[in-house]
Amino acid sequence: MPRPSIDQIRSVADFTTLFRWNLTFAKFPSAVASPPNTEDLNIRCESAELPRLTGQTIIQNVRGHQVKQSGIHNYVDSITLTFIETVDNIIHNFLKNWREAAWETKSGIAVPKNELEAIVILQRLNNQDVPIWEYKLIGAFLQDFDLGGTLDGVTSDSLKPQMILAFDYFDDRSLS
Amino acid sequence: MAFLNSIEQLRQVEWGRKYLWDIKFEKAPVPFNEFFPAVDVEEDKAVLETFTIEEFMEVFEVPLKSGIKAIRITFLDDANNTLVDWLSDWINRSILNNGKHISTLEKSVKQVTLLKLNSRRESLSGQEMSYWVIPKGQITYNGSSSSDPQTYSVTFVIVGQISDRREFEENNP
Repeated sequence: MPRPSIDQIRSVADFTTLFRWNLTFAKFPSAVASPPNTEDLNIRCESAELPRLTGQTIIQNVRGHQVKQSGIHNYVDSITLTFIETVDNIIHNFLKNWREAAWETKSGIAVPKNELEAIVILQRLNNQDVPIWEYKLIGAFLQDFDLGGTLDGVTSDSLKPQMILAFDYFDDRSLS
Repeated sequence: MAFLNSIEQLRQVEWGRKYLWDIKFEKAPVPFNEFFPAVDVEEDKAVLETFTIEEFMEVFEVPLKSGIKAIRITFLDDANNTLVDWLSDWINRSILNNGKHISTLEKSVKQVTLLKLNSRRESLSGQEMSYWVIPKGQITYNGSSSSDPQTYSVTFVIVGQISDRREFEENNP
């Protein structure tokens, strides 16, 4: 079979791009006080990791031979969302309130699991900004965060806090 | 000529996997009446004790009798300690009657069903085992200072095997 010609490549559908996507919090954790507007988060979200599933390989070693079988598949532990903070502290407030719901400062009180979990949706868009694929993260909670780096006296970059969200599983589907 | 001559012989086998099993206690408290949150299980499939005979300069070992079969289960519990309370009540109330008398075996048993599954998570034909069991030993609550899940390990002695599960369910609605 010959290699693809330039005309064949030119005739395929538009290639997907990395910059057309949306973040939606379909359900905020009910225990989080004053959650932000999901659009406020979407506007500020600079980058988002896509979720994935990794499989274990079962290896049978029998007298010098090694054969493999597909084993248990697990969803990766977490995804990272990177935001650009604004002076109204939308991201900081959300992080603090979610964190406090999971582990209250001083007392260590935690709300029940179902009040701590969010449903997060990432959508990829085509070049006409129409959603073409959706990743729905079920059971997402704040596992870790980074407030955006080191404060100093010479850098004029934006503060970019990160949310590391753990989740139980994701459901993805085509929207086109 | 060896018995195993080619890697292709190994490739023809669908090898067993440790996670393909399931277990359920009948009439366990909700939500564990639908599934039992066991994470490890050991099931004695056959037990044979032997008798040693020593004669002259030889030692022989011959079959003597069967032994007690048991199921050892490590399981998780929920935040309300539902299962450990249920197991404690089974021993303290249903069997020991709060120290007043000991129940008969018939009134002490509960039914547990163990399935072996294929990779499609279908029950393997002829490998659905239902037993009458009683707990053996102590049920101990373990507290620590970590956020590890709460687990318990309990041994259940098999006191009977239910040969026809359908017949049992008809008689015990």
